[in-house]
Amino acid sequence: MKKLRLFGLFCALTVNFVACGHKQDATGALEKAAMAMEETPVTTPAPAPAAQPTPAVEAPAQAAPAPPPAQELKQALASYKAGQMEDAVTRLHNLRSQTSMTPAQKMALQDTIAAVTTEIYGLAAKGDTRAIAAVKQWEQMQTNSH
Amino acid sequence: MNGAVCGYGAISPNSYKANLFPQDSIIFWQALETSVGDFNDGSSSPDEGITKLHSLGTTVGIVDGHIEYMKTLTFIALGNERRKNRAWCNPGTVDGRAP
Repeated sequence: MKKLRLFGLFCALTVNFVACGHKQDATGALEKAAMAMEETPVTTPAPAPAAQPTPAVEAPAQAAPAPPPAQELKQALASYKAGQMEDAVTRLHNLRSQTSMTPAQKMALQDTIAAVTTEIYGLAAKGDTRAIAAVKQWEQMQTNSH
Repeated sequence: MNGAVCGYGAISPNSYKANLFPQDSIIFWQALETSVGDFNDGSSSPDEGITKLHSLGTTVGIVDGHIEYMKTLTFIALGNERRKNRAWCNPGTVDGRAP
């Protein structure tokens, strides 16, 4: 009887681990990240120390302020659901360079990007033309950004 | 590898010499393994994230040759800063980022 109980416990734990380890789908990850962005207030980026002059490369970013992360993520989610993968990956890539998020929010964003790109790369490998275009767009942005 | 070594592409295929970096600059880390799109090339920028395979933190390689343990959130916080720091350490720019 004791062995049977132990076996039952083992099965329950196994099912639990398998369920927890299930790979998150892109839409779910986007929704989860959008919620995380809304729950925690976005931090204001710290001003640069007085000793370090503001670099010229920041000037364009200041001229056109980026939309709030939560709003941008919702737009990315809407684009992804509508099948506009190129727009979704562009928005996610732009979000990643924003510094107004907390480290926890940034981690959630990185998990979202991982889920979305994994799904898009998978679709591209199957020959989906929109996914192939999105992959090209993503890799071009990646190469240009560093 | 940190793309700062080649100025995030600005001086590629050349690279900066080690003595141009602050000696605590982070040069190596394990990329986020779940993010397939970040493996388009051999280098990363600090905002691309870091592995989560090792629970709450991992080791990173420093330009002076030593390695050290760093919490994942600490690394992400460094990548989130807008000024030159241990992760954003491009010697060619004031803010340590891509020109």
